[in-house]
Amino acid sequence: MKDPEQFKANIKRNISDGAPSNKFIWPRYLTKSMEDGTFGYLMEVKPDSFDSFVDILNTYKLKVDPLTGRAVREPVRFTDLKAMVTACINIANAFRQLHRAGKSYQDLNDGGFFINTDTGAVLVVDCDNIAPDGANFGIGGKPGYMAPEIVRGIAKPDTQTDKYSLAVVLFKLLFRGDPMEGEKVVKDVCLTEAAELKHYGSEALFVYDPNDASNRPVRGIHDNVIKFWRIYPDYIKDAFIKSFTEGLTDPNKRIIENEWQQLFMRLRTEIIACTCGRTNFTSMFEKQDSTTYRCPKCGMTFATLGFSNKEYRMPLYIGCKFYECDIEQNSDDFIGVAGELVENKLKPGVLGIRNSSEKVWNVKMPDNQFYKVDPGKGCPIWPGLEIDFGDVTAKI
Amino acid sequence: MIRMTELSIGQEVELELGGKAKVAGIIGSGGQGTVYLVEYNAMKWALK
Repeated sequence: MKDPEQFKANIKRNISDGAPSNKFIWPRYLTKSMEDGTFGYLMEVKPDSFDSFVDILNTYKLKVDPLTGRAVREPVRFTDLKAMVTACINIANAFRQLHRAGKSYQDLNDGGFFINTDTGAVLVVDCDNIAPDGANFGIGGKPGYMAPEIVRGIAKPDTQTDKYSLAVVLFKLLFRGDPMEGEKVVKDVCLTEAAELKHYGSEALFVYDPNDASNRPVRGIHDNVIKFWRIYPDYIKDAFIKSFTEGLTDPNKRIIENEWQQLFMRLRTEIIACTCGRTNFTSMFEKQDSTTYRCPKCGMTFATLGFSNKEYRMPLYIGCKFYECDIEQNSDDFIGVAGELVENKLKPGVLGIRNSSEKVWNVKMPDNQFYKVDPGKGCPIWPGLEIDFGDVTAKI
Repeated sequence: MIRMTELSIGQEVELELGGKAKVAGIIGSGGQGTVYLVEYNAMKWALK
């Protein structure tokens, strides 16, 4: 701690500024300093429905049985793929909000998040090191999450180093491993401070660096990374490659939060939940033609909806949703559902899109005429379907 | 982070804005010190 008084004054300023959004468990009240000069702060209590990022990575948490006093393992897993990708969107969005407020987190690591594994909602905790960008009160960060320039001692935490740590957090959530821990690191049996400086600082090398294969994940040790690297589409892998190759040495090449947010919104749109039980990204489904996917397990085909403001198409399956940000040009609302594919309750097997937004849609029906579809109402899906949302249009 | 002095259950901690928070329990402890459950203004809060 460089200057405890400055540190306290910074928390006081953060209390006065308020949280960037409701995704932060933000300091609310300061205590008076104790006789020994230490102090604390009050914040809201984390709801029980959120699990720590550490428990999510471990896939379990320890709970004490009140009857026996013994700690028992309880599984911690995302309910579905959509919840996990939504968590990625929320994490990127939280740091976008923080950085837009002119502040940096400085100590981004696995202890800084709680996630609702049913919904993907995120709460950022440990907000006491957050400071105006450029200011630092002594915190460096956690090994493995710190940007290489901090590990090397040539930079202090700021928004640029946050971006590096954000990429590490997202990588760990998706690939369940360390982006820099491969063959080279495993050869150093003991990860001493000097080895850490080498592998995470001066000689950091991404496990999937396309130009240097000397630090690839090792089968039997890094099986998760090997398995999951195969599953994700190229635009996600390319973002991590950029973050951990060019972005290793040039902070300006790091992926910005809004870019991550857009990439993960695309990834969420490209999930297919087939009725046979296979749930995966479109990259793991066969492409029957330019607008239709086919399940490699059961052969079921999925038509897609193309939005005029997106380069990619949304596969249609019962329960798939699109959001306010999909139908409104300048909307950042990736939580509010605008439309959902549902089955007609009176006619099983007949599918339609329900208007869950507050806007009236103009929809081309099977007689090739356009009709108004009010909020709460639906329209059938058919090969010539067109929906005019106002700002944006969508076509099958 | 400056680790706060260890507190005991029932102990009261004065706040800068006035009033006191009463320690009701421990939420957790780790590398960054202990987080306590406290009561303040008839609400439950976490104190770090």
